[in-house]
Amino acid sequence: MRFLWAFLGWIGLFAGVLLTALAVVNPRREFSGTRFPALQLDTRQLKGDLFDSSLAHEPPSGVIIGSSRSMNLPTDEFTSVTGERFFNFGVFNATIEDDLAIARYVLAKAPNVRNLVVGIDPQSFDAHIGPLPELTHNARLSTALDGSVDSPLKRAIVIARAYRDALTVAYLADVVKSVRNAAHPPEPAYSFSAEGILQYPKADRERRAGTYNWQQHYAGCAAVQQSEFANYDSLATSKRAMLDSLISEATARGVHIVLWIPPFNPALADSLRGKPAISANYERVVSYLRSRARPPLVTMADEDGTANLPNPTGWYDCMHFDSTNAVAVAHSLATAVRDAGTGNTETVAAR
Amino acid sequence: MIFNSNVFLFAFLPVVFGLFWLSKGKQQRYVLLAIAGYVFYGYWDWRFCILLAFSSIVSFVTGLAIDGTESRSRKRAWLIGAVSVDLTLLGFFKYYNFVAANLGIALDWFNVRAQPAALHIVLPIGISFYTFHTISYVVDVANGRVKATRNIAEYFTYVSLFSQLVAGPIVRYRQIEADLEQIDGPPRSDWIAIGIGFFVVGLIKKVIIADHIGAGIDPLLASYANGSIHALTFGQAWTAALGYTCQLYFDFSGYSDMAVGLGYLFSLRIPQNFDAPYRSLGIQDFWRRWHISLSMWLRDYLYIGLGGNRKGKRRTYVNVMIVMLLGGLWHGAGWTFVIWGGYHGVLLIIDRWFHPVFKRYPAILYRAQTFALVVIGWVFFRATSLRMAAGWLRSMFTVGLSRDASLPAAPMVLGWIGIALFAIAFLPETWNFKFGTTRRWAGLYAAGFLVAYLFMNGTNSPFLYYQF
Repeated sequence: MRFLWAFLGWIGLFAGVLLTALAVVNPRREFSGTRFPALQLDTRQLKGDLFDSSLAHEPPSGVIIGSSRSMNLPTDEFTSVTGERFFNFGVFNATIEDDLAIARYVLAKAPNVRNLVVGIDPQSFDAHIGPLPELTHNARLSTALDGSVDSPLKRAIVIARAYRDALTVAYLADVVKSVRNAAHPPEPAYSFSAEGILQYPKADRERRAGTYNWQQHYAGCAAVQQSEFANYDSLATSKRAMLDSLISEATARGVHIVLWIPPFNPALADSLRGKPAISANYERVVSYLRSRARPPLVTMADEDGTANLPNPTGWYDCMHFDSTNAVAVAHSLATAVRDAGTGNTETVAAR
Repeated sequence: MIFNSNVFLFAFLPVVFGLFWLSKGKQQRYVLLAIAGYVFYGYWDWRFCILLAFSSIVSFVTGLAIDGTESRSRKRAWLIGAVSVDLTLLGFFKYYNFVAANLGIALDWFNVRAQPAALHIVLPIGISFYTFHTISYVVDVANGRVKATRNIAEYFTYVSLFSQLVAGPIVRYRQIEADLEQIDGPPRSDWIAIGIGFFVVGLIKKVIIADHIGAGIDPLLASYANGSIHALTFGQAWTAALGYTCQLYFDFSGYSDMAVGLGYLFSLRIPQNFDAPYRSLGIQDFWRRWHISLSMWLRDYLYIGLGGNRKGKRRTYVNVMIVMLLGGLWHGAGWTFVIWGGYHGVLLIIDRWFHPVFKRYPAILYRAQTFALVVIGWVFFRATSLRMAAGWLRSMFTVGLSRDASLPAAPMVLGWIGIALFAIAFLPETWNFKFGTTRRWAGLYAAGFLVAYLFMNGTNSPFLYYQF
């Protein structure tokens, strides 16, 4: 058996070296290291850190949940309309699982939260779209998702799973890339304010300089969206159940919820509308969300206010609007929040 | 459960290995391995275990019954009974719908309105393999080649041995009997080293080479099969054919290496299944080197049973064709497999006829000819329909007509095929490796395992032969 012990010893040694490298370089920002530049932002981790930090300083009473399409909504617009402090907890590629996990985490950690603004991407009801590794590897949110926030055992399991899943060639290639980038860090594509608001420094600089390749960004984004909608033909029961849980758990604590569907760029919206299957599916999502509206606790934001944006060229691609449009959307949503709080449902489309 | 999965590598295998070497005595180890086999098998679907147990009990009891009688006619009756039960099970689960569909077509041809009903049958994984295990056992007992075991735990261990239960090698009881009898021995460090070496090499073959080639050609062939693309280009057709040739070899021989390695970890020597088959000189030689355990099984239990080459040339060729057609059908219930078997039957006959001529070829030419013929055969083996096979072959041989020699969208696959072909041409077969068994080799095996794991982790890629 001496050979076996030697073999296992070597495995342990090699794995230890690899895991240490992964943790130190941390190219996807899932672990603790920060010395080397990140190749991709783990927004679930980052927003969680920012949120925890905001609790220690100025706890928000409203939280914005959703995907990247919610992530640049300015919280100060919400504050100016409602008088309350908001935090933007939108994360990249949010699924319904993310929405539920974040809501549960927020409700568990911040008892004074009274408003949730939940941006729902229509395709997130697709049964084929499951929780991403960024969620399942996130100790904070994945424990919240299964209702065990702060369970040390569950946290340990999630962290161990994250390390195990990082033992791949692709992850290792990212480690190498990150180390290589350390000498000449590339210009960051994204940054975040303390309130969790997404900024696009690189794209904004290119747009100012007139070098932003809008066509290319639009085409790439549109292709992904069209393929996401291609095989999506019904709203998964499990996803609806998750959103129902979010609504019932939040409203049971007296929290107001504003549901909304982030708009597409008008060109993509027209193209999707031209496809009957997609368009019918979109309508199914809209009518499902409307069916969940129970004013004043659960409302659906005015679609005209969030879909008709003032700046037609204020888009980064087929679905991400810029800060000028973000202010208008935020204003519309903040008005819905305020009116829900005061019982005025005139500006709220609970149709 | 598949060998290249976290649950097997980090839960099932360590637990079974640990308990095996902690347990004392034959009986404990038999029981442990038998239970492990059923857990391994039941991981797919627990209902499959009932069939496995039934088949094992029938053959075990038959073995005792044959052993307990002197009457030749009774021995024969027991043998026919047990083989019939095994073949009925295999026939029903694997071939019923195929036969029913073709019978329906035939009846329709004769304007008979009766259509046999198609049934929703789930094919129990590995049934073709363990059926051959149990048949070989009762035939060997009946022929006096092996004495029936009276230890049901030992017999269950043999049939349900997880290392070779699902996709072979097809191990005969007599090949493993001696090791089973000495299963209570102490661990041998050199065998454990060899076992780890085999396993790591098999894992590398599977997850690094076979799976990367599969990632390049499987989507292409799936698109072609479902009609998303109407025709393969010349380049695509050859890339897919060569790619599948390499993928199948590295996948199946990788699996076999892992099975052999696992056997060594439990002090059981599982026989060789591959011997550099793509370097064969002729199709006869190919079948002595490819899936050796199946070839030998078909030879010993079918070909020789039919009379082999003892009844004249014509009858020999008829026997060869019967064996190859049934061998093809054994792989799957489809005409593509029957044609693949028939194609190899014809090649075997031609090879026998012209062997004196071919022998005079330069070896490299004979080898290349054999390889090319095998590659063409794999087209039938891989195609999901005769139409697909015909279209694929047409694309391989019509470059002048299509004037389109474009390659698959994933050019990386060409690199992997190149690596695979280099390994096939120049590297030794795993059985010819001299695995170091001293501790200084442990680091190399560990590094190999970890590299393979980095490629494997997060993927779910069953072995190709699991479907047979």
